[in-house]
Amino acid sequence: MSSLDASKWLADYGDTLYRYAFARVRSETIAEDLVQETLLAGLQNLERFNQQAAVSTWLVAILKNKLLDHWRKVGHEHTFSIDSLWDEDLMHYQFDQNGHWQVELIDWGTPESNFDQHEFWEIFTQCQSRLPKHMAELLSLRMDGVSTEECCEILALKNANQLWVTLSRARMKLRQCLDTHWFTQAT
Amino acid sequence: MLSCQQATALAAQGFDTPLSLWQRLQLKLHLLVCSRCRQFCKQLAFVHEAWQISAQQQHITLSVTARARIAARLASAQAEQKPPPSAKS
Ligand SMILES: [Zn+2]
Repeated sequence: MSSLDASKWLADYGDTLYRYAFARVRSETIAEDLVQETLLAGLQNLERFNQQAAVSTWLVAILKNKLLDHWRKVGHEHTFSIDSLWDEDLMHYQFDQNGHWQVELIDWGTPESNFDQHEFWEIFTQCQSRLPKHMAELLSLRMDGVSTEECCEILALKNANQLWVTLSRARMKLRQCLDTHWFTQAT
Repeated sequence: MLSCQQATALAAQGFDTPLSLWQRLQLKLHLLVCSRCRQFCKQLAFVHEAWQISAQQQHITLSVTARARIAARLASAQAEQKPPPSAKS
């Protein structure tokens, strides 16, 4: 029974769970709370734990549910204004009236040559945190393979189209931020 | 022929939803002749990959205070769960 000790879970998997949560919510406090809720839920549902499965897998599965609950809760608090000024600026300066590029694109090089650099990740994290909250959440959900229907439901989006628009803009913003703050600075 | 603005929008959308055959054809055609959009697409793929990697970064750890707080909370929850030492008859 000692192997199912919750304090041992905390020691063994606390960091893994925290990392997982933090990468998605980008808030220390919320990530810490999620770890705590996950371990508490694990403790309460111990009898449902399938001994065949690895404890870490089981705990991550609980954490995923806790994350979904979290998004559901905060998703409805967002006011979605996808036509914020920022977006318009972004779109307008990149293209001319006919939709043709009016900026040169920098060669970013290979992913590997950037991913190896610690400084790259600092900039990347900053860019992530600059995204409007709902965009970052949505991207995280999609990267975790949450279905589009569920994303719409969780974030109270009216339709899938709004989802695509939001996701596309999030990707574009992130690209723009990296381009400006990493690649332009580096060259 | 798609404009670059339309092509980049389709390319970004393609990461999240399957494009129709017609959309894919249009995009392919555009990318064939437009090097800037080709580069843009590569950059989007880069961003996508970076996001996925950032979700598994190793250097983030629970702070000592958070760990202690969670440990205390777990200990009290575990104590509540245990049957009382003197079982009622
Ligand atoms: Zn183009």
